[in-house]
Amino acid sequence: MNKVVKLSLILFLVSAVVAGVLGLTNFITAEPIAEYQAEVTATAYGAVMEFESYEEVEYTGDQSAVTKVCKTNDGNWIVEAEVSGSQGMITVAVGVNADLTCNGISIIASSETSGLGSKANDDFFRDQFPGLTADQAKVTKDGGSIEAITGATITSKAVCSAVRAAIAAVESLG
Amino acid sequence: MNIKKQFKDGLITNNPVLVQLLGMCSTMAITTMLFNGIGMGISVLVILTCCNIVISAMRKVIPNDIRIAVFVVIIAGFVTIVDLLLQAYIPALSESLGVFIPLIVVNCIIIGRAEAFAAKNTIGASALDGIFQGLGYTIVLTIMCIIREFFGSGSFGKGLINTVEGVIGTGDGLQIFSSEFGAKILTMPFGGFLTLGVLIAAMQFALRKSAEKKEKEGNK
Amino acid sequence: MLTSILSISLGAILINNFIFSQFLGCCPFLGCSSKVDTAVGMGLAVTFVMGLASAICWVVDTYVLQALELGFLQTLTFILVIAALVQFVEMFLKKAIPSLYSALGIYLPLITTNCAVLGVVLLNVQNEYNFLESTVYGITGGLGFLLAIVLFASVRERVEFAEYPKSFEGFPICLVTASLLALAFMGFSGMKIF
Repeated sequence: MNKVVKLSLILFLVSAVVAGVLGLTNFITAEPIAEYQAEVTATAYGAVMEFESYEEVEYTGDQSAVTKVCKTNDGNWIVEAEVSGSQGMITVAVGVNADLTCNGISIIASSETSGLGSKANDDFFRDQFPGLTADQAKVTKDGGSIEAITGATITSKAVCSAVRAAIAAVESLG
Repeated sequence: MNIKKQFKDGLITNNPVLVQLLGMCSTMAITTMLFNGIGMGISVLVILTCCNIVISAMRKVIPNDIRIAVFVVIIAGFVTIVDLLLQAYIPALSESLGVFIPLIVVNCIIIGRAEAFAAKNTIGASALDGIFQGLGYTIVLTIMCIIREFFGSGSFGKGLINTVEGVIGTGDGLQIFSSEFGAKILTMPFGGFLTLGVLIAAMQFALRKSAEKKEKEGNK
Repeated sequence: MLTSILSISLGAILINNFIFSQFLGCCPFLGCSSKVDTAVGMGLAVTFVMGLASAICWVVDTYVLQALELGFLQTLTFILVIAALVQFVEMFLKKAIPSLYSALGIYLPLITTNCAVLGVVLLNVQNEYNFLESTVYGITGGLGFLLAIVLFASVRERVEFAEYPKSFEGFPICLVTASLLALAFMGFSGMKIF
């Protein structure tokens, strides 16, 4: 029994030292990581809507894809929505004008195959969205006006569904 | 320990991926572009070297019964450090490798080298072993990335070349031919299995030829 | 609720199969697939541990790590939980269900270093699944692994009788076979239930 205690003690000691070192590393890196994330969000928001300031609005509606809703000082909206693409989740920031048209989109995070789904952040794809209503935000095959990315129809459809969810969420908040 | 022999072992005759067949998951999963491959290779190289040094230094104090558990804790520690550093200073790489960075913990190369080499050899030799095995791994990743990126999407060095303001991960790379003519299937899982299979076959072919040549010379 | 469970299950088994689309758990997949019997044993053991690990790690993550804001210890904690869990399952099976132990026993120690197990736990956290979703993802992910490894082992038993270039002997021909299976699984990509 004595041996078991001794072995556990050694393992515990090693784990404690490792945990301590990690705590120190975390202390150093926490700030740059938070800064980077804030920067990504700020760039994405800036790309989808013009605003001076915004505040977060609580959203409890039935659009399950919507994760965050913000209202700008001009009465327009920025919505974050998370939808599943072909391989993982895609987080999209959608700018929605007060008249329920899309003002622009930007991909915040995606785990799609590099070079295929990640093309969703290319200008050619993103530039199709401004001015669209919820009904138009579909790929051409589904009767909408978005030309899908070659070889990444599923990703394109996912982004469109994020836009529709965002507009529906704003509509319900009025 | 013979440095030259260790060097040749790590890179060719005992290459971790092509000969020891360790660490296949990450080799096939992330080699879709050069940027990922080099990033992953260097991360593993650093972690492997650090772990080898620490484990070798502690080899006389670690009780034999719980050595694997202690190894795993040490490896997990180094992996998390690298993970946090990448998130903080090279976020583009961290995003593109995703879950495969924390998964280095269970990469058989590291625990395999700890058990087979670092637990039995001096600190210096273990450090060299870490560097050479890590290099061997990086080279295989690089070759696979170049093949898959070129044939799959017609580009070279996406994320590394033509960077915007020197920020790693922003470059477009060299587009050698239009990506519309690329065999996209090579950047998908199918291409991972196939490319690695063909590479190992080529390695076996080369090793067999050189063995046959030696035999012939021996007969003379 | 039901639709999310259904789409997670279908996703884990077919669309985003752990082996063929996410490359998690390739080592045992290639190492333990020379016979269908061993493949079934390994697959079942992995499914069992993945389900348990998902449930336990979710509890540890939510009530210990998140509560204390120790997110940076995730990888370390999870691998320790998995290693302890595997040990515990081994001891429990040996005493309680010896017949199951003799069937699964030899595969259990190998599972600690199976990246599918650590992978599923990390993905649960990344996808922000709740307890039920995490457990379902763990079990169905394991079932996907089982399906993949059994299919692969059956093909490999036949490949033995085939003729192929000498350089492809051993691993290379297995990898080429696996690539063809991955191609077949690509047919599932894009399937969706809403």
